[in-house]
Amino acid sequence: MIRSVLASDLAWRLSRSPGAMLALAVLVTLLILSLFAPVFAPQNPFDLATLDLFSGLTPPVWREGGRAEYVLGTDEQGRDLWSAILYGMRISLAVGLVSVVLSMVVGVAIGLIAGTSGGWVDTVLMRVADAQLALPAILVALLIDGAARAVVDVAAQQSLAIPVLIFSIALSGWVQYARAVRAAAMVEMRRDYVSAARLLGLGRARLLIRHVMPNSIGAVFVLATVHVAAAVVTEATLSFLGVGMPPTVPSLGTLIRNGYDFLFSGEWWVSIFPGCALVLLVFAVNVLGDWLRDTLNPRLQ
Amino acid sequence: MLELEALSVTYPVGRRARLAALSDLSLTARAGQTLAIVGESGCGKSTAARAIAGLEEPSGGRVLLDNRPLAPAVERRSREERQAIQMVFQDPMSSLNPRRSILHTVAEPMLEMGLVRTLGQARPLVEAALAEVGLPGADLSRYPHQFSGGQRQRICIARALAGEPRLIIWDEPTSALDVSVQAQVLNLIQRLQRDRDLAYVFISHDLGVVDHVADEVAVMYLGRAVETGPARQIMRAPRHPYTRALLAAIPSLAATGSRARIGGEVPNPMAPPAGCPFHPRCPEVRPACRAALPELRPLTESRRVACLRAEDLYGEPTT
Amino acid sequence: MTPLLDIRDLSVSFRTRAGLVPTLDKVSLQLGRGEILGLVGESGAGKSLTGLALTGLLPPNAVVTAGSVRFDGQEVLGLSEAALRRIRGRRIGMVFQDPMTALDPLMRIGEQLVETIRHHLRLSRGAALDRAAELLDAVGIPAARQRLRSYPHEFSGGMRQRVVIALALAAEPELIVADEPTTALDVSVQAQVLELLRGLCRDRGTAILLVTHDMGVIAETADRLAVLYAGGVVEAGPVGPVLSEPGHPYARGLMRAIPQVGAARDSLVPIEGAMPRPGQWPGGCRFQPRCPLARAACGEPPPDVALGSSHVARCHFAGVEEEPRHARA
Repeated sequence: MIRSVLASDLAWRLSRSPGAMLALAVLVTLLILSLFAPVFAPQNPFDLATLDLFSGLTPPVWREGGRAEYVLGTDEQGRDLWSAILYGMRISLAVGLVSVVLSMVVGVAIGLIAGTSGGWVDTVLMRVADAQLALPAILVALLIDGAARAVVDVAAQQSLAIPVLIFSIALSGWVQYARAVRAAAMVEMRRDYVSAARLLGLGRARLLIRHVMPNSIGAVFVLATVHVAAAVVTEATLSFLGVGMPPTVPSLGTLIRNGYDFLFSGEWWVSIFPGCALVLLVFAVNVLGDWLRDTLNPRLQ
Repeated sequence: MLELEALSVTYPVGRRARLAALSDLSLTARAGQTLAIVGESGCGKSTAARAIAGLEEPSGGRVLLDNRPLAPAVERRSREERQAIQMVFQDPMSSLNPRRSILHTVAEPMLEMGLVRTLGQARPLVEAALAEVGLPGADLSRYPHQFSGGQRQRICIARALAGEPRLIIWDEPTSALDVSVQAQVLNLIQRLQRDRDLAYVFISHDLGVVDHVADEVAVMYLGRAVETGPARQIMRAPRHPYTRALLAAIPSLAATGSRARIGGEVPNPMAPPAGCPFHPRCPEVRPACRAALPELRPLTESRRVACLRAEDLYGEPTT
Repeated sequence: MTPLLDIRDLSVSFRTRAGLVPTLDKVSLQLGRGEILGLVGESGAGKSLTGLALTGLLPPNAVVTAGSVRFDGQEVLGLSEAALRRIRGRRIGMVFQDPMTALDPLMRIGEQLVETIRHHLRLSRGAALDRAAELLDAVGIPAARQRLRSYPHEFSGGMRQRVVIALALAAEPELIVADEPTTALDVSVQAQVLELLRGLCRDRGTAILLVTHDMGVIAETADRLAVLYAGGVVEAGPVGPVLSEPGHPYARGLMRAIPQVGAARDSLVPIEGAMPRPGQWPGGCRFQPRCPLARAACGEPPPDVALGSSHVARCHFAGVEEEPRHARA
């Protein structure tokens, strides 16, 4: 119920911010394109049988030597870039979204426990969070990824690439959720409706789930929208560094890396177009997330 | 029904300091009667309310229900004990969970106290409860923010009654309400007491309201009771200089020029004055007042005053 | 003699999703020099809005749809921001409810006072400091000179409010707008601050517009009062006559609904219902749904009826009573 009220009020506010509306339009377009990639992409870039090596490194259609069936050109293996970008964006988005959801779940749980327990439980959990914050997210992701590679043998690595990637990005990002939720939980614990619930004899667990949690997670959704952008970039970075998605199942980051080698020999499109796609995606998510954060900020009301 | 015996609540502050929010409070509340605890900020009245409810653990003394001591923390009390004592808070905005419908909110005590077993069973009872507090036909699927302040307070009252308590603690229930709504809610509170023979502990800083609802009054200052007794008597003939000053300071609608004012402000509870806590502001202060803390002692059969000069001031005490 | 403050038929609306919502409807007030006028109303009646309109401090989505606000003969509405800034603080001082947000917690109060003084009066720093100490003394803060170096958090609530009053007085304004100045204070402190305001009015000839929901405060402090209900002034006049013989049913209802020490036990007569919020105003008289005297005629906007010297009530049946008044003990 509350969400529908918020949604209509939000919709009105959205209509007054052209920037946010544009960002939303771009994002929705990209989402549709990547979700229905098989529909929009003339070629399946992961299906090796459809690749034609001789079409490798074809320039974009408006350049000399370009061909109509490869609008944005091809990479060295003959993969149509447009198709590769669509499929790659799918993976980037999937990894980004799932890892953020995982981050959120872990962060919210830890934040709630810390915020409602107080005492040494709170202190321990928050010091763990602080310790992790001292390390850059990429480094954490690298460490976890590296550890996984050491443990898992090469054959299984291919199929486990996505889960490990998601896991490492998720684990590097939970801290901000934990902190936000903890702060909100501490505020809510002081409110009279929590006291009223205590008077009924509700134990810690039910108090938390029924009363504190629904009122503490508001800030989390705004964090998440911005975090999706960060997660996508982290994944791209890891893939670019060679420790993310394998080249046979490329995400945008892998595509950029792939094309990197050809950047200076004149076949710039192999790297630049995926790069543009990544920038567009991240930009749209960020603009939308910023607008959402400002709109929902009670202090600015 | 309810007795407070030498109840004290002290908070540690920092490494060494301590804040005595409540010191040595002994009071009695009876069925069908209203015990009011009044005072200004920092006097400890809200702390007393929370200690009775079990939301704060006292550092000394105890609370007795039907002559049996209650566990200090509400979580460790029995279901009967929790059912017996309920509370209505000051701010109707934060007293209701904004994410739960009023059906859930008012039904929750019924479910927790075992009066019904399912939400479906609770629904007609919730409707009846809301009708009784002046919200007949309210849409149960609505949320708190869809109601006005006065209506929200009524919902809180319905919630407090839902578990069928015997004693209700009212913590400034009308302070956050508009004047015209305040009168409605006060009348409601009194009617409910008559109908159900409830005992009330009524916390307030507004002496006009207290005069209207209270049978017994305890006046608090800096965590201690300075005067207790029947409400009428204390309001008409106060015996403690602070009570007198408080009554004199209330702006009244029949204003006539200036009245005796006391200077200064309530001192910092972290650094209470030596001896009688009121002595720096007291118009009747004597050297002895600085030396010793006056005890709350009986002045007449029903009244107690914590003042060294209680007998000498303001004429002969009457019962 | 022209009144210091002359508000005529002021109407203000807010721009919302649902269009223009009126929140003040033809509000008229007059305040003479050295007078204390109380503006009384419940929350949502529009009293704070009136105070803000005086100094051009209305929120950005508020629109003045009609009326005029004249300060010392000069029209204030529509003045440029620069002209408004010359009036604000210098000729009209403001005291708001929460002293903690009116004072910068990171600045010593001496600095805040000096900053305000030097902004409005061309004084040297030394002279400004002297004046600041004088002001603190005038508002009853002991050891004024030393306290100039204190921070706001080192003062108690009542003291902080006195500092805010000192700030409002800094440039010797002719009018002070005090919006709920004592609501957040303890009763004993409230009495002191009110007495301070009355004293200042007497000694310096400063006019005060006292905005509050507390009738008792008005009774003690004001010379005249105006009762605001749902965006309109329903009754206005000298405090004595209005409180003892209110002409408007709402004012009468309020007097019976306020618990007073010494009143008979079952004497609280509430006003049923609730005040309509902006956007939900009924047509005609806005008090009609709750009024014991309501008749068909109340569907038309009520006239202003004179009940005595400068005592006015906006009601079709001003001065008429249905049932005998309860005796106030």
